[in-house]
Amino acid sequence: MIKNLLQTFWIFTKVSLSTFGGGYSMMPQFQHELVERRQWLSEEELANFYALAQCQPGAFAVNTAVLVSTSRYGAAAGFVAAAGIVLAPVLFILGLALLLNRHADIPQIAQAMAGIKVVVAALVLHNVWLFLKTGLRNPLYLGVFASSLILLAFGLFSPIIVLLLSAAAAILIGILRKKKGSRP
Amino acid sequence: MIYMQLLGEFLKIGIFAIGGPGTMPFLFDLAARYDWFSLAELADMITLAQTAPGPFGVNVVALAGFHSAGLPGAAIATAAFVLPPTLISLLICRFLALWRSNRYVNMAFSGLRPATAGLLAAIWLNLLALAICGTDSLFKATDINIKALLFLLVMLPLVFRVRINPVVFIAAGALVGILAGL
Repeated sequence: MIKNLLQTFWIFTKVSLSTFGGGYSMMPQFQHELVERRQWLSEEELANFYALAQCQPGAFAVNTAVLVSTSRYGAAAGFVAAAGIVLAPVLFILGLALLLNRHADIPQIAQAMAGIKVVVAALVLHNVWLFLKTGLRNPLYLGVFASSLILLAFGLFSPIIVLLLSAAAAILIGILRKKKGSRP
Repeated sequence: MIYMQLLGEFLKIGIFAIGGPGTMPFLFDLAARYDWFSLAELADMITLAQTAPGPFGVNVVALAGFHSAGLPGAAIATAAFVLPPTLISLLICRFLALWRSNRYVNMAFSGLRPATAGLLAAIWLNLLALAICGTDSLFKATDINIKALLFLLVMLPLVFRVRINPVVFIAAGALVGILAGL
């Protein structure tokens, strides 16, 4: 039991530390570690967990790790997997932040950060597009997208209110459509 | 008591943020409501979180907690952010079939996903202003960093078209930043 938990912790620490650029770039590592190397599950099963991980709040990588580990070794392994994927990168980035703070007077650091900031702006716009392109033909999707953008950009509501309104609107429209569709 | 506030705020983020990038609108909201960090500092954290290994959402939340209240702040923020989705995952594993086929869950997410995209698009305007104009809002911008703007125009098609690990783009950004003296 303890051995399984230690193994779980180690697997997700390794996967987490060896990927850059956020949750989705962990997919090849998950595939390599879980399907090919450890043979915990098949590729199809992993794809199912990916779909589930997207249908819930939180970071994609954390969700996938918890889902896979819980279904393999139970709830304790789920917590251990979350700790594994979180702990090492957090320690790393806090160390990095302390280091950069200490050497804030080096002009190259500020210049590099300014350059990366431009790249991050490009990456985030791409992120928006990846979301948007799944719903381009769907008027409900585009409507919710545009109204959320406007509501937040003009500071009318907080993000939570925007999300709650959007979920409520989508459920309401879904129910209305269902009623309309069920009529003869 | 800042620790309790951090706990409450980051639990909320853990419950409502869809995906790692989905944390950013909430952190912009925190920057506006508390004096824990400024928008410019938040942009630095986002930059650093993209540069380091690990999940982006976890990284940026840890940095935000650290900036707000030191190491205990980082620990509280990270734990509070990770706990709700972890518990939800455990529940989902138990009621797997129910969750996947539930009409209302699917309907709710058909609204939550475009809303998250809209929120991200809104804060992208802030990120753009911080990267190009050095101010946190396009309305406040007085001048434009032409070098940064040109670099962005070069990067956009690359980021959209070239499928490689984003860390390559990050490294290019650091290099161009130093060489061009951004």
